[in-house]
Amino acid sequence: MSTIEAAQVPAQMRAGRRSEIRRLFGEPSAVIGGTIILFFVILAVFATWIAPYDPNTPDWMAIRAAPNAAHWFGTDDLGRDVLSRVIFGTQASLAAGMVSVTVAVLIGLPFGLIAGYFGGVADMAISRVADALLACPFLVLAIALAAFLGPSLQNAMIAIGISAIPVFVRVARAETLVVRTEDYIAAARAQGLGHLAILTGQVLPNVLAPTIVQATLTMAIAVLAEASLAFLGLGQLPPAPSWGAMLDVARQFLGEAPWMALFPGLAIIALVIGFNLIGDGLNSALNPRH
Amino acid sequence: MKTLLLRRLAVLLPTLLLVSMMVFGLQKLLPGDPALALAGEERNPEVIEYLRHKYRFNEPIPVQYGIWLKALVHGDFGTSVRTRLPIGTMLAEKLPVTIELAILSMLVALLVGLPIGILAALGRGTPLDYGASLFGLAGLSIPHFWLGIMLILLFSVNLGWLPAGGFVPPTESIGRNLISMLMPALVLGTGTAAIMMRHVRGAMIEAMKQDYVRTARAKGVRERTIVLRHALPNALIPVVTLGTLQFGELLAGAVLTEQVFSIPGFGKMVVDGVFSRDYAVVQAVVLCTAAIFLLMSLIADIAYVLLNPRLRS
Repeated sequence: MSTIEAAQVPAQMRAGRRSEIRRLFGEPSAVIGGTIILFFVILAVFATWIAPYDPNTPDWMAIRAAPNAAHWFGTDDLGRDVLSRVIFGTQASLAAGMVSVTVAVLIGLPFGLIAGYFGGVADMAISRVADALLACPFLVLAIALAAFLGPSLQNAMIAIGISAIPVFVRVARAETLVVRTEDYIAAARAQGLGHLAILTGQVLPNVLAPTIVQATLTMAIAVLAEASLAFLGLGQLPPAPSWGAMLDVARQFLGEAPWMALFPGLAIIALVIGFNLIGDGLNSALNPRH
Repeated sequence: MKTLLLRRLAVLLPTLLLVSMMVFGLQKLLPGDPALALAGEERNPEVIEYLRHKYRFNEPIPVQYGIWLKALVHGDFGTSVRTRLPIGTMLAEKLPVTIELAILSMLVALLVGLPIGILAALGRGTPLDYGASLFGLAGLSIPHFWLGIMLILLFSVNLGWLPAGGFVPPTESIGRNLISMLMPALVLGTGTAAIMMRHVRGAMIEAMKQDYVRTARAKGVRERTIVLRHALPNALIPVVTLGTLQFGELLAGAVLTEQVFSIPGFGKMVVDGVFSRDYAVVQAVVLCTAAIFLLMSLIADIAYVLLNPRLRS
């Protein structure tokens, strides 16, 4: 690669990114998914102002009240407003999705890069550990880790994050294996660039797009996993609101107060659909092989 | 074939060994005295001393792992602190229940996912295809346990058609067993049906673009014959692999389904183990699930080669 050609690369990359963003906004699934996620982010951030009631204050005069003008989603077994608890529950679900996936990316991505770039013993060792982690089904591993770490939202996020690491190792490794054979990597080596500079400057930007797609799709799985752990009593501790824990309580009052189960479930579905749609949209916009 | 089997076994065994190391390492996450933690609710000093002696907690960690692994190889998973039963016996009792649930769920997935996937591929871009995509998205986004709760609400609480939970062993009554498994299998099978549908749709679209389909059309072969005799068998090859791998996932997914429907299987065993701080049970279930998952991926690889003539030769 000549100096002129090398100088043209950043400009080409900027133009490429602009076209990717244009493609992303042209993908209906990405737009719908993004709108749903934005809606939930607003709910989570401004929960204190949006929620009509305090999510933890019981109202003994309105126990298991059906949806009405005062309580749009009804009340629970302690008379707490279900709508307010659903709104505040967004915080736990979004935090679980984002924090656990960030943990998984921060650990999985560098290991995947190293395995794919250096190959040999490093690749074998990292791949075997990732295979071993992948052999334990996601939810079973998350439950086991959460059980041993103790029940809390923080530990649930760690458990989900650890369980998701091998997915990112796999994605980063696979992409790096493709990228490392490219001419510009050989050119960077010929210019005397070190491994770290090549990995961060040349390989990483090319691995980021599939990683972002995978991260978005994994957030959907992480939200479901957090709700599952909370449902089992291994997530957010009461009385703090969490959609999964709300469903666990609602099970006992299905006949008398079905709304207690209906609305937290619909919230989980909406958020997961949002992440899945934006993941599909990103995949179409960012993945050139799509 | 023999080479493939040996090569896959050469990868599988070290992976299983690594899984066992990780599962053993879970113990080390427990805060404080591991013997006290492993004893769970049990505060009898004799039991705690027995556990400390059995797992040699005073020895270095590699020695402890060696002892633990040796016991495992001999089929000794330890004893449950809750039931006082050998964990191996508990596994042998619970696993068939979960396997039955997984088989029935796979049946649901195949009966729903295959036809919808094929029809969506053949009617690409039609309302049916969009409906199928919507079903796929919903199947991947609806939590099993919520779907289970909603089905209980509809079919048990409101209509009174099906039992809300519980399990009838097939040895007692096959009819009542199937009725008790109907809702759990529907719940667990829906997610797999969605995944299956997406893959079948993609594989069928690819198969219908192939030269042999064009040739068959040029020869005047009926569309129905082209789909059923030529395209479908080829499209199903990757689906068989997927189905085998999904079977392992179903065993994991059973954890929540069994909890919702109070089915005394593998999943309920691990949840009960978590809440009674019966950590050896949790470890045994994780290890067994991983072993089954690895076995299923081995079977998937072999099935893929057996079904694909190009790879067989």
